Amino acid sequence: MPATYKILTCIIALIGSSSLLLTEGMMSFFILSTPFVLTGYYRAVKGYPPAHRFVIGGLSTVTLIVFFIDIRLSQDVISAVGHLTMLFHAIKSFDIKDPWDPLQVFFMSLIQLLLASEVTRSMIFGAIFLVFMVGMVVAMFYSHIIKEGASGIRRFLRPIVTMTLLLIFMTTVFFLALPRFRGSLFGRPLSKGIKSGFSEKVSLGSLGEIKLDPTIVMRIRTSPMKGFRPYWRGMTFDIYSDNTWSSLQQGMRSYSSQNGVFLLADYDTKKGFRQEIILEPLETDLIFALRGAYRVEMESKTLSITDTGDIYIPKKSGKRIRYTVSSSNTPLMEKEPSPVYLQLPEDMAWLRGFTEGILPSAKDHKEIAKTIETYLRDNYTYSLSPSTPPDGVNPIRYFLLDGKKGFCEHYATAMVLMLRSMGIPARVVSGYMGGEYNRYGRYYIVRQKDAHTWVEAFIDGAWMRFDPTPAAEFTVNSPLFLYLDFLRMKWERYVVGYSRADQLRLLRFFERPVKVALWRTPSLKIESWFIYPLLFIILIAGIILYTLLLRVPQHIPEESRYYLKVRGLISKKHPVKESHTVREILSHFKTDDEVYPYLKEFILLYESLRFSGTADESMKNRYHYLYRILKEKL
Amino acid sequence: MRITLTREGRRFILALLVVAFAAFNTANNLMYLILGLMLSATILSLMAAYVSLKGVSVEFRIEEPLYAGVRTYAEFFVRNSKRYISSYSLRIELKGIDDGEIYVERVLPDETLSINKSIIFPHRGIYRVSHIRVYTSFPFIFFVLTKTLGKSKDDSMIIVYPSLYDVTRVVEELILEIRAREGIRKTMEGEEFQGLRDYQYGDPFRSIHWKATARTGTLMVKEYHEGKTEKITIVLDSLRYTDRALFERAVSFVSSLSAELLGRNFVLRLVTCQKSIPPGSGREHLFKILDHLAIVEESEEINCPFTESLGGEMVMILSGPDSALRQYASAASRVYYASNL
Amino acid sequence: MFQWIEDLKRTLTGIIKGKDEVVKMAIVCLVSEGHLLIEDVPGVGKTTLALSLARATDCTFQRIQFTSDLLPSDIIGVNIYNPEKREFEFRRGPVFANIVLADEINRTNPKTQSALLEAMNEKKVSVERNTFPLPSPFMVIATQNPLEYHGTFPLPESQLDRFMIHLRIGYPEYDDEKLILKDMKGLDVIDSISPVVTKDEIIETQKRVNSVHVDDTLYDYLLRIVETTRKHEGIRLGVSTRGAQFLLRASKGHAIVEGRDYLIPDDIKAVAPLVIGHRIILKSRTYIRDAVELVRTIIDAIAVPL
Repeated sequence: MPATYKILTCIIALIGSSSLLLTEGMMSFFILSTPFVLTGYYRAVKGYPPAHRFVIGGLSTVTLIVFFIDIRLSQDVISAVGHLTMLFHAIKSFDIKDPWDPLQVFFMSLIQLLLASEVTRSMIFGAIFLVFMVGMVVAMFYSHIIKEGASGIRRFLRPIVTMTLLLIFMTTVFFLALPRFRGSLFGRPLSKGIKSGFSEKVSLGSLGEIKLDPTIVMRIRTSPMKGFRPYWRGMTFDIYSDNTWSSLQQGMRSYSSQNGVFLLADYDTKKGFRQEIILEPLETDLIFALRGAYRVEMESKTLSITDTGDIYIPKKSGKRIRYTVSSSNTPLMEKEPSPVYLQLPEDMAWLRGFTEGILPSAKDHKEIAKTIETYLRDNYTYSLSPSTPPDGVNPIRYFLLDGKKGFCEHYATAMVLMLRSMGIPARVVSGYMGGEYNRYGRYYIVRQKDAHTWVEAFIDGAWMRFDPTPAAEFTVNSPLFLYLDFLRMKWERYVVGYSRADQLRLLRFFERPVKVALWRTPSLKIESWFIYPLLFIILIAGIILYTLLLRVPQHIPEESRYYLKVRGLISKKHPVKESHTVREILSHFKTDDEVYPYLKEFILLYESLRFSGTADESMKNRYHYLYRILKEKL
Repeated sequence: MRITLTREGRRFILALLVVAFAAFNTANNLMYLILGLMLSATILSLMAAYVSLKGVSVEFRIEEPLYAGVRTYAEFFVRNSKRYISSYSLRIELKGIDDGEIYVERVLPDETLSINKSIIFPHRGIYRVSHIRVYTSFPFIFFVLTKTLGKSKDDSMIIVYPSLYDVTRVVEELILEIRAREGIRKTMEGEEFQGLRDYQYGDPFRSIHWKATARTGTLMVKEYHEGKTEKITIVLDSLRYTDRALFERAVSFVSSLSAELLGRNFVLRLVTCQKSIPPGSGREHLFKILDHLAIVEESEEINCPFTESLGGEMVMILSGPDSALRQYASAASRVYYASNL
Repeated sequence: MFQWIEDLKRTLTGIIKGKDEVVKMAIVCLVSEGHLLIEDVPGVGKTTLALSLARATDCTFQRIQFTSDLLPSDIIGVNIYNPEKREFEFRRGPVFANIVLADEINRTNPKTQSALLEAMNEKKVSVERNTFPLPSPFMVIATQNPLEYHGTFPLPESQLDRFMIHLRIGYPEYDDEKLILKDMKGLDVIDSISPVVTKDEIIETQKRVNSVHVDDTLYDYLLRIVETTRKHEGIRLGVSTRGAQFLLRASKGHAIVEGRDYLIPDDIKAVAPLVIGHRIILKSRTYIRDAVELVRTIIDAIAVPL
């Protein structure tokens, strides 16, 4: 076995193992096994003999025992098998004897990749997969070469490159074309989900820790909103007591889908805001959208909507979910709110006085709300780490009177309570605000730290939104980050999230006539600097393909081209072999008075131009002229 | 083209089915990705092998004449008639004449490779190439695609002559015997003096017989027996032999004898119980004789055609002293028994 | 290009009816300084062809009837001892003619055959220390009887090689044969032929053959034909380099006869079976197959240059 083959085997073993690193709890085994793998293959490359079979057998037995203990302890078959494969690689690296051994290693790496695919969703998996694919092509070629006893890989370089390119292409085609089924027969939720601050009861200040978390929660494809920041509405909280907000989920109604569409209200479709949302798995059954949602597209059987417009999916999803919401984003006229929205905790009697103190004089509700919003925004300081109130002191009271520092929850709670004390129905709404607009992919990136709470007050027959929280500074990410996130979005949208619906769309796309633009995805709207390297890569790939697949055919003299064309025309009527001379071809037309004279002259001119070694311009012209005549006649 | 799965291929397909089930069951797109990879590897490997074999033709030429047991070289012409795509990793198998295989790493587009392979034909007779098979496990080792080229045509028949060995001494003895019977005098330098004749253009001056010239007044030259051809009939007894090896030995002996005698400018006729080869001389005639000896078989009937007048000398090769043809032995200049050879 | 070629063709086809191709090949042979071997049963016009050709070209003609007792000196000539001058003097044999008809060449013994063939090849005769050039143009038309008659000596392959073209005349077509019967004039008609060309014109034409333009790809085409005969599995011995030279020369001659001063693939294709056919030795088991036919199938599988 050539050393390159052993090195390649080592690389493939490591690729397989590293794919497992994408899942949890693999690092220790990876660190444990990798030095052994490297040592084993180093020895193999250097030509040391394989380890004694008793050593291999003993180690294998130990590994099996470890595996069973592992399964009992962790109760997690996938990670236990993952550990086992890593140990297998380590042991096998010392036992590379015959050409069959690397094949076992390749197979084990394939299993590792399968395990990883079951657990991870990361884009890195895609990269590892690509490297694995290329590595496997080379390795399998090598195994063929060794089996056949060929002299080396040098002569096979061209097919290797061609096969790799074809394999990538075909894998893509298969990926897109293989049928997807709606649900799984059995299986398990894939990941634990991101902690969210969204539950029926939320104690004040719990959002604080989330606000530091940059984890991406959702990506929303929609047109950019100029002039205002989007509020991705989540949950409405009705009752505040014991420093805790709770949601009553009033008037929860269940909707069922019609062809994947939920119609929540009649609304003019054209005026709505369409949002295509990819939501990471969250520890909640809530989904988010701009307010005024009237239409939801989603692969789910039912949806539950409360009176307040909170949308719930039937079951907390372990997977990323994708849905499209159309929202009106204007306050919908609603019925008189329930008295719940005037509820105040008992110890809040002082608040009315405090509130009246900041209001110039009794005005209408809208003006009151505006004034409170402005007051809070201007006179309080935004801080994610406000000083904690002394024991027994109501945190809102502390915030309003003493600390004067807090974050959105404090501001929103304070304002709602102030409004309620003034007899205006109000509620706290939580969700996400803003998010970073990724212009490469034309979508919003919404993170945990964009979690926000704001206020809704019922004024003049509709719920109006107020946000007393001062605008916090926000960070701008580098273009590189945005671009990577764009890729990640694509990966998650089109690879991990590829679905039956996408397949149907793709099918419909190919059904449509070509006049439809081939790329309606905005991927070509990326910055121009990216175009040049892309074109360059395409050019290089084209050249490689050309040189690989096509050899320049033998030189055909200029005069012969016309004859060849004529011969091609003739071959449709009469059988023409390559061994036929022009005159033999001519003899087919002896009885064809229409063609024969022209063809004869043409052929004589061809012979003379081609073989006599002298070329006369007028002969050439005549030759070309005759060609045109013959083209019509034949 | 025939497709066979290798052991590795079987395992791979099995793994593919498992992955397919897992992918369909979990609807996990990453698993679909792996499934896509495995499927395309399977299909591409079939396609590559198919393309590799497509347009490949094999011709072979064996330097004739061939003799049993003698190492010869067959030249194989492996042609890839595709215009743009090379053929890789071909194995070529010749059923019928040789069990060995030829391995060709690569044949470029429109290229004809010529490969030499040594072959030993163990027995005389006609070998037919029942078929030439080309197969490949390219590019991975999952499948073996086999293409059978041309079933046996007449052209792919190969005649292998009986093995020849050195019979110089036997032949010299035989010639001495024949000469002794003819009573021809030996003259100087081994040439036989025949007589005198008139000078003709082209005769060397040194051959002029001056005494006779003076006597007759015209130029006279001595005439020698210049390879004046002598007719020999070889009779091979091909009636039932007790032992197959004995017959083979006789055939081989007759072949060697014929080669040696024809090499010495004799006119030779071969008679067996199946066929009579009319007299002739020269190398082409040797091939005529060997053509027959290559395929001669033991016969059952005694309607051998040599009862007619033979003319010239006769050499008989009999199976043994108890041969049914023994009765004709008296007419022979020399009788050999296969058992004594 | 050469008017006389057309005239000659017309004259000869007037006498040998229905055999235009044979006549043409004979002229090709003459123009490209080769020798012609005609193999056919008696009575199909071998002699008539040779005789008419000689008459029409204003050439001296000699006919040698080969018999089993013919000696080399009967062809080449003899050094006769002249007692008066007390020295040998050379008396020229019948080979000293422009066109020599060697009738039934396979009837004589190999020694005599080779005497003629040597003269053909070298275009001169050496007797003792003296060399006598043969006249120019010089062309031998040999005929051979294909039937295996008793006491014949078929020309061995190495000797056949010296003939440029090996022809079979074959029986005439039905209509032509009818015409021949109706138009029976016998050999008298040959006497009435008047020459259409002079010797000098022939020599000039022969020189022009050398300067026929040959495109490089045509050399490749020709060599591919030759090489295929060497590799072909039905052939024991393929065409030699000399055979390839003959093929090229005959093709050039064909081009001239066709009135061209450049070679085209058709020239090679037309002459190849007749030039190559007798230069290859088939394997014994394929005796049944005709060499000329085999060459035709070989050529039919080779792509012509474009």
